[in-house]
Amino acid sequence: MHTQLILGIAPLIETSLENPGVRVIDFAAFGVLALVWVFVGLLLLFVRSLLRDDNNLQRGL
Amino acid sequence: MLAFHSFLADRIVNTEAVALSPTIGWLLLTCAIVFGLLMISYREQWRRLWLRLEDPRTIGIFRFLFAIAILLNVNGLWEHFHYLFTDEGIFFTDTAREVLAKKQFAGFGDVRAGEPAGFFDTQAMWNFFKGNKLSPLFFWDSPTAFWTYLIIFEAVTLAFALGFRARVTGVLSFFMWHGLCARNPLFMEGTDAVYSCMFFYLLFAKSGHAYSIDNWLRCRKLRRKGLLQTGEQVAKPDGQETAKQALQPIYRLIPAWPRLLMMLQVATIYLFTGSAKTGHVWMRGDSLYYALNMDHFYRVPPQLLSQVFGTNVFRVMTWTVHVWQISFFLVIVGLILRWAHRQKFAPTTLGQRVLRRSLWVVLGLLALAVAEVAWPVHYPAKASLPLVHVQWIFGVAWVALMAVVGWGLYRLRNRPFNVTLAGRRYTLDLDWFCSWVLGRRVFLTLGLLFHGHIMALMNIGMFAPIMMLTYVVFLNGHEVGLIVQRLGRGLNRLAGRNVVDTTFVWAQHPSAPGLARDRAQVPGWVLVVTLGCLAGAVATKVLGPKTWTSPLLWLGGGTLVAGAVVAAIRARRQAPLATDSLPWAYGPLGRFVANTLIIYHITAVAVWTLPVKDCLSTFRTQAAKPFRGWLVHTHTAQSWNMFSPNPPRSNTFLRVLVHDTDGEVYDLNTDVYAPEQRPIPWIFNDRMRKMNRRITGRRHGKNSWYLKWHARYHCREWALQNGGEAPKKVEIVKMNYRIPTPEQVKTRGYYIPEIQLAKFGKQRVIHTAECATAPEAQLPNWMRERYGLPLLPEGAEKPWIKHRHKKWERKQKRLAKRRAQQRESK
Repeated sequence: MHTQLILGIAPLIETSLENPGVRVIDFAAFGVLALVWVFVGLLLLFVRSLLRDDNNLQRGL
Repeated sequence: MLAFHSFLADRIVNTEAVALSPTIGWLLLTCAIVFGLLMISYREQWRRLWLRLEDPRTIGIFRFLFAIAILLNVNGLWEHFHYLFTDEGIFFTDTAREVLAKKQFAGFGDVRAGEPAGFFDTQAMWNFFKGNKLSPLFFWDSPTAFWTYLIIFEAVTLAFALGFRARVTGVLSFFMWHGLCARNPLFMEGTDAVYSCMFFYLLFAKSGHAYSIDNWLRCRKLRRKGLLQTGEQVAKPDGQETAKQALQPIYRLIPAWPRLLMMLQVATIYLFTGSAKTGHVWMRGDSLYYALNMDHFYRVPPQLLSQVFGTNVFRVMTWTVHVWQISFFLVIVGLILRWAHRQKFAPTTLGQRVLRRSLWVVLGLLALAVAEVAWPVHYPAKASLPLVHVQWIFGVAWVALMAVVGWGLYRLRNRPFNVTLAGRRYTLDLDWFCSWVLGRRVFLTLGLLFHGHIMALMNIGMFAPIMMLTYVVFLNGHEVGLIVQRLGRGLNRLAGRNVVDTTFVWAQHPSAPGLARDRAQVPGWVLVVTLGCLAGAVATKVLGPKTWTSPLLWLGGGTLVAGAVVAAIRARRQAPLATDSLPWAYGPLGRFVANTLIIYHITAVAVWTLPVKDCLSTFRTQAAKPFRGWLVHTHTAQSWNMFSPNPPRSNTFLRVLVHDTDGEVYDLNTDVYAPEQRPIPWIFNDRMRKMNRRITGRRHGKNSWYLKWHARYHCREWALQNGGEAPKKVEIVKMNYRIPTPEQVKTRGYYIPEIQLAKFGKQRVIHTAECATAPEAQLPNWMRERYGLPLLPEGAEKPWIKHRHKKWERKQKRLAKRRAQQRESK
């Protein structure tokens, strides 16, 4: 713990949950990442449905 | 140029690499000649690809989205309009002329120095118009003038977005956007270069032919006269039938080449940036970690996320992105291969096949030779494997790869593979290969994933949106029409009634009459002679005799023009192509001009983007010289060194400290070290962060030249905000701390940036402006009058006097003397 404080590194996650200094915002990045994947998933479903229903989408140039 | 020389002086030159440079230069020239010969052998495919007509809907939708993105990009600067573009900002009007467009304003008077106002003579005026920084904001940049300019720009760009007089408004918007960039490029970054290049290509596309007010007005007019295709003619088009009825299509076909240039541009960006990422951080896979942990850019703190994923998922993502960027051009290879396969060109003769295959093999071996020659100066001295072994392994692998590509293409084209999986039989032919292995579904999906992550986790302004937007040009107009139709159906379902008509509208039928179908074609031998003359001109320029260079260029150009004229005249006597053949984008003259432009531009960008390395140093600048003017004036001069060779590994901030006359020190809290500059989540981009990075950055061992002007601006701004009373001095402080490595964060836990900065941050004063004595650090009387502030006594202002009039007169005398000497010597 002493080394961690000297380096300015926050406590490990396991202990940080008990640490009053831990910030909820530190977990927000996980939520953002999940949202990206949901969005990309929906986009892929849309493209897939286009490809399935209409072969014309594979015309290229 | 001075900066370039000091750059050369500052860095250590690898003399061994420089010694290799001529050899590499000749090898690359031979590669270019062989590639030119190859394209001549494929000339029918080349012109069919570039000079065809296509559905206008892709370009129509791209125009709309792109213009909106341009507006968002410019309006994202709103907090800094005053600072960047007005005479009350970082540069006074005349200072901007001097530091940003010195050559263009060499003959322009500064009235503060008692010089005559305006250009000294017509030569001076011509001097200005020769340059590429043609911004009205160099002449009129008071806040009122700027806002007037901005409002006109916004109106014009909005009109362009909506497709109102799209040709005119597009050109106007392009020049006005560059007018802003020219007045102060401090804010510019890679994002703006993408906009710049894509905008230039868009100007050549007939972007008002779809999804535009122009086309809507045209259709309305035709409909009233009963001349517009409707109902069955639209749903099941028949070119001949509609022609008999003299009906006009809703979507007229447009030339395809601007869209193809846009696609090549996107591939160039990725190939360049991927190839430039040669540093060890990219190799280790830590780039995403460092990029995400830059305090200037993340939307929400990524440190905890980095602790969990920094040494595993992030590494896989970094390597994937790196490989994807370098190989992105394959999507274009795939599209062209598939297009050519589907076009079913006339079968080639044995001689043609042998010639093409031989040229491909020679090109591959030449590329190998470039790599083998360059290996020694790119190989670490302490590597465990001897260099010669590496060269052998690489050489054998390369030749094997060439053989696999040749064999694979032959099999896919002529004897497709058949695979049975779970009882289903699949035929793996060229079409399958181009759709799946080299397909848009692979490369564009990866791109959406990459840019989607960047956009969600980092706030780097409009970079991710513009890159994702460029993917639209990889769809053809028919596909865009289908997607719009699908979205319309979705809207109708949501609304519970038919809000929009979702009948699919076909574009103009290619067999429609009135389209160019002549048989004019420049003969192959003319193209070979032209290529030979150009190669000869380069060789004589380098090896001599130099007196041959110009005649060879004239001979090459003359042969080409003569060949084109003869071909066009002959074609008049020949019957046109059959109506079922695909029409040309233009007649013979238009095709000749467009094709020459395309080839010249592609060559220009290819030469310009050669890596700035010692092993290319003896010829790179000279080779780029014939293209410099074109690329600079069209604003397509480009370099995509983003996060290369390595991403930054420390967080750097710019702090402005103002010392007032009472000795009090005020921190203006100008960067994200200050809590008020650090909103979390960070939603809207603030370009000050990027500008701070540029101002504090060092290039070639020197501080940024913006630094002193930034400090002087703060002297003036403080006086403006404090009743005209100037501070004693302004200090610019650079603060930074190293980002802990991914391993440190993994083993010790995530860090808190504020703690890291407080405990381990370093800071030092990198510039001090004495507000009473530094040039232009005083709030001038003309500004004091503007704001009703007490005036400064005479002599208190320290304007920066450039003595342009004297220099101009001296230069004119020198030139006159030289001309006289030349006349006498004749």
